[in-house]
Formats: sequence, structure tokens, C-alpha cells
Amino acid sequence: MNDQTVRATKGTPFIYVAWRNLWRNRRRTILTVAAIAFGMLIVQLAMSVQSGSYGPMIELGTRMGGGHIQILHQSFHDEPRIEYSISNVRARLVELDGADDLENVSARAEAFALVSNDPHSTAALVNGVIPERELAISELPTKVARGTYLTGDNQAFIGAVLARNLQLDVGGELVILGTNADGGIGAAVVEVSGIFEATTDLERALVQISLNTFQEAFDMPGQAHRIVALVDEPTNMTAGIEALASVLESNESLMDWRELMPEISQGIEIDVVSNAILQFVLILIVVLSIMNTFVMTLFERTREYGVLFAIGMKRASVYRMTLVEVVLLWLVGIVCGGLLTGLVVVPLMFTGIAIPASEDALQSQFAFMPTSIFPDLSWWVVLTAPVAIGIGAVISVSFVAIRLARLDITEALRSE
Amino acid sequence: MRMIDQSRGLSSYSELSMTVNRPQWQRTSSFNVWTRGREDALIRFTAPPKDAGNATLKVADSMWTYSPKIRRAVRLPKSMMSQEWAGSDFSYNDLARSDKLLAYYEHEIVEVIEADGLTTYTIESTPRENAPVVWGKETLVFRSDNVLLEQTFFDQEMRAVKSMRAFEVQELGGRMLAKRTRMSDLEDPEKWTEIVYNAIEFDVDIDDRTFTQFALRSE
Repeated sequence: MNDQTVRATKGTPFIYVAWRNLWRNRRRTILTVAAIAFGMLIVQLAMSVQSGSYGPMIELGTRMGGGHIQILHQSFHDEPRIEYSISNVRARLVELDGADDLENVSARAEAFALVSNDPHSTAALVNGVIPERELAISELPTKVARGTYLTGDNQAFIGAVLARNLQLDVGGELVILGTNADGGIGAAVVEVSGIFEATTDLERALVQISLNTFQEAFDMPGQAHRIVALVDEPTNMTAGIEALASVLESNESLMDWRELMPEISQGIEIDVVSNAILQFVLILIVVLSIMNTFVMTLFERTREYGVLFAIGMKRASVYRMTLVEVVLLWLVGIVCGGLLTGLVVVPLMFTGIAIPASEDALQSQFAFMPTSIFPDLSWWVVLTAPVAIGIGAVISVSFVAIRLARLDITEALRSE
Repeated sequence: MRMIDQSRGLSSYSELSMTVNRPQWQRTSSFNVWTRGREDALIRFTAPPKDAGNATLKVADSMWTYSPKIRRAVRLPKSMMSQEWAGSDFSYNDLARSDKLLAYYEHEIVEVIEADGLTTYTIESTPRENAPVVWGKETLVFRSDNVLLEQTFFDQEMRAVKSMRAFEVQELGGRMLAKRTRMSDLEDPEKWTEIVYNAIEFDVDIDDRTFTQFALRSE
């Protein structure tokens, strides 16, 4: 061993010596590599699961009816009054059906109205929908608890809490009474075709009827309040927005889900910040434990360094060799960590991680609770842990450098 | 109380027209009103044809709305009482309020003006604690001959929200009344509703059956 070290000072590449040094103490090296690999796995798993959880949040928010992009009257979003309607709806839907960049489109009308099953009555949000199109853009039709979704006109699909409050069941008669755009009375009598269970606020206050029935009841033929569109990729809506912009009429505006549901995009922002803190702490713990391993290993070799100095090796050379050793160790560690992540996280990206209990009562309370999460590996997620560990390793070596500079040879030779 | 009785009597029958003005449109409708005592009233629209037959019945604290289109009467929940009535600037509460002003408010005379042999009082009415009232306060201006000239509604932050003013005070059906009453939204000058008395008769004989749900449903 010493022969080689001496030769190293005469010009043998440090990298060769460093590599041999690493495997002088096999167990220690394997432990350090394992620490780096598992540390990387933990950080990457946590980060990929977190960033993967936003997709389902957006999906759930949008699939419960909002869609990704909407066309609405320019005043409707701020002041949802029935008179702020949009016209020429059916023809535009047919036109949009041909757009490649949109997955599905539908139209909706909405009004706050009194709903009643004598003698019970309460206020509710009445939605006029196109049932066959609604099936393609919303998950609400699949949340049937009793009966069926809307199959035609003069029917209602109502929330379970609302049904209970009005003491209504499937087949029961529901009276809708509201105000038309011109101030007259809008009214309809519909038969309950189905009752849904979804989030609490929807269950308590939502009534869906067909758009035809809505238009007749509220005297707004051919009109609606929103054209709702889904795109394939909610984080890239440019092409979809262009397609919708081509049918935009005056007095109308285009809004995407970020503007329509600021609570979701703000929720994500808050989540990103709070998770960033958690992840920072996690990375710090991982890096510190690995630094500890490095520093301990190097301090253990004090005697060896003493010998090297005694036989005339320069301190700077010893430092350089140690640095190369650590860099090599880091490289081996992150390669193993990368393989581990590949084995664990990548399959999960396809199978998803099921979240138990989100199918039952919990889900009604937390509106945007996904049923399973698919981890998402971005460059940021992949690179953070190796880079952070690398920086930690270099800092550890610096500690050692200070120690080496102050080392007294005789003392070093005497240490165990 | 006399001020309210002034426009109602033991019983009354009146014919009114109402104009609702909005930035985009204006529409006028007509309706007839039957009242009994301080609490009960039936309002039935006669025009425009689309709205004819729509009716609102109030008996004591309960209100129902009837639409001939669906041939059903719907009872209004308490939570809906502050909503606008028939697309106007009047709320169901404004129709129903009757003597609630006495029951739920503390009153204070803040100004007295003598003019033309009549005294005009300005009263500030603040809701009692726990009163089921949405307003922060109301101010009323009325004359010593019991004509209500002005009523302003303030929200909880004490901003004036809407205001009702009386015009063309004259003798109608043997009593001094404002022929025209306008409720204005103070936040949007283009939003107002005006109600005009075309005819009114006091202390007429009205069948008690008028104030039943059965009568509400039969035109």
C-alpha cells in the first residue's frame, strides 16, 4: 500500500490511488455508499410524490365540473347573475367538437333558486347541463348513490344532503322556483332521477337538470352561462385556449382553471412552500448524516496521514487525494441511489400509490382528495438530492483539510 | 304604527304598477294587492301576460309564491326573505315587514322640522341585539300626518345601501298616501324600482278565504 502511495507523489494519477484507498476498507465504503443511496431515495420519493399529488388535485377540481377552460360572460365570474348569459351555445359546441386540442366540451347554465318539496324548501344552485356531454367532462354523473344520472328532460339529479333535507327520494317531485333574467318568475317541476354523493357542499346545494329544462324554466332559449372544455394536459393549455378563443364572442371572456378555481392553485402554492421547508429539513438530515460518515472515516485515518507526512508526502497532495476519494465515493453513491430510485419510484409512477380511506366519508369533507397519487420525476426532483449530498461531501473534506493543516506528525503517528 | 296602518287599514284592495330599472333594461308590470290587518297580504300579477297569475301570499310570518306555469305554490324559507322580490329592488322582507320595525328596533328621533303646518320627524332605528335583521340601522323620515317620506337602509358597516322615497303625496282612497314610491340601490344609480298606486280602497270586505293557499292556487 505504502509503495503505491509513495508512487502517487511521483506522478501516478490520484484517481487510481484514491479508488484503491476506497476499497481498503470495504465495509466502511459500502456503508457510506448505502447511506448516500438510501438518502437519495428518501428525498426523491418524497419530492416526486409531492409534485405528483398536484395533478390529481387539479383533475379532481376540474372534473367535478369546472373543466380546464371556460367561456363565460365577462361579468358572470364576478357576479353570477342569470342575465349574464352567453348565446349561440349549441352551434359553438359542435364547432369545438372538431378542435384537436380539446378533449371534450359542454355547456352549462346556472341559477340560484328555491327548490321545494312541499312543505320543505331551501335555496340551491340549479345547473342546466347537457347530460350526454356532462358524462364526458365531469365525474359527478358517476357519483350516483341511488337511481340514475339524468337521462332526459324534466329530471333532476340532486345531492344526498339536499334530498334528505327536502325528504325527497328517487321518483319524487321537485319544484324549482327562481327569477328570470328579466325579473319574471322562472319555474319548473322535475322528477328526481338520481341522488349523488360527492363533496359536502355539492351534496347540500346542487341540483342538476337538463339544459333544455333549464332554458324553458328560466326563459332563456339557446343560452347558457358557461362553455366548459377539458384539455389533455392541464398544465399546458395554450392550444386549447386558442381553439376556444376562435369561437369567443363580444362581451365574453376566457378563463382557465387557475383563474376559475384560485383556491386550488393557491392551495398548491401554499403546499409547495410548506413542503419545501419539510424537504429542506429532510435533505439536511440526509446530508448531515452522510457528512458525519465522511468526517468520521477521515478522522479514523489520522495515523495513516501521519505516516504519509512522515515519509514526505505534501499536505496539499494528501488533501487532493482525499478530495478525489470523496468525489469517487459520492459518484458510486449517487449511481447506486439512481438505480434504487429507478427500481422503486419509476414503477410507482405507473401503478400509483393508493391512498386508503379517501373513498369513504373523508372524501366528502376534503373536496380535492385524490384516491391515488402517481409520483412525478422532474429534473428538479432528480437532481436536488445528489447535488445537496455532493455539497455536503465537499464541506466534510474542508473540515478534514483544516484538520490536516494543523496536524502534528508525532501526535498523528501516536494516535490509534 | 299608525304610519303603517295609514297604508293598510283594517283591510285594503289596491291596484299598482311596478317599474324595475336596470342598466340594460327596464320593465313594467302590474299587480293587485289585498291586505287584511297588519300581517296578511295577497299580491297577484296581472301584467305582462308572461307573469300574469304569479302570486305571493303572506299570512302572519309565512310567505308562499305561486306560479301558474307549474301550478305549484312554494313556501319561502326564512333564509330567502332578504332576497329580491320579483326581480325588483324590494326584498321579500320589505313586503313582509309590517310591524317588525317596532318589535326588533330601538328608535330615536334625531331631527324635527316644521314646514307648511306639518311636522317632519327623522327617526333613527337601530336593531335590538339578536334581532333577526340584516341591516345595521335604518333611518325613517315621516310627517305628522303619518306619511312615510323616506326610509334608508344601512349595512352593518353603516354605509347606506338602499333608500326608499315617497313622491306625489296626495289623498288616495280617503287617506294621505304617496302615490309613487321608489326604492333605489345607492351603489348603482341605474338600479331602482318604482311602485305606483293606480287605485286603492280601504276597509273593503275581503273574504277570509283570500288569504289561504287554496286561493293562492286558484286564479
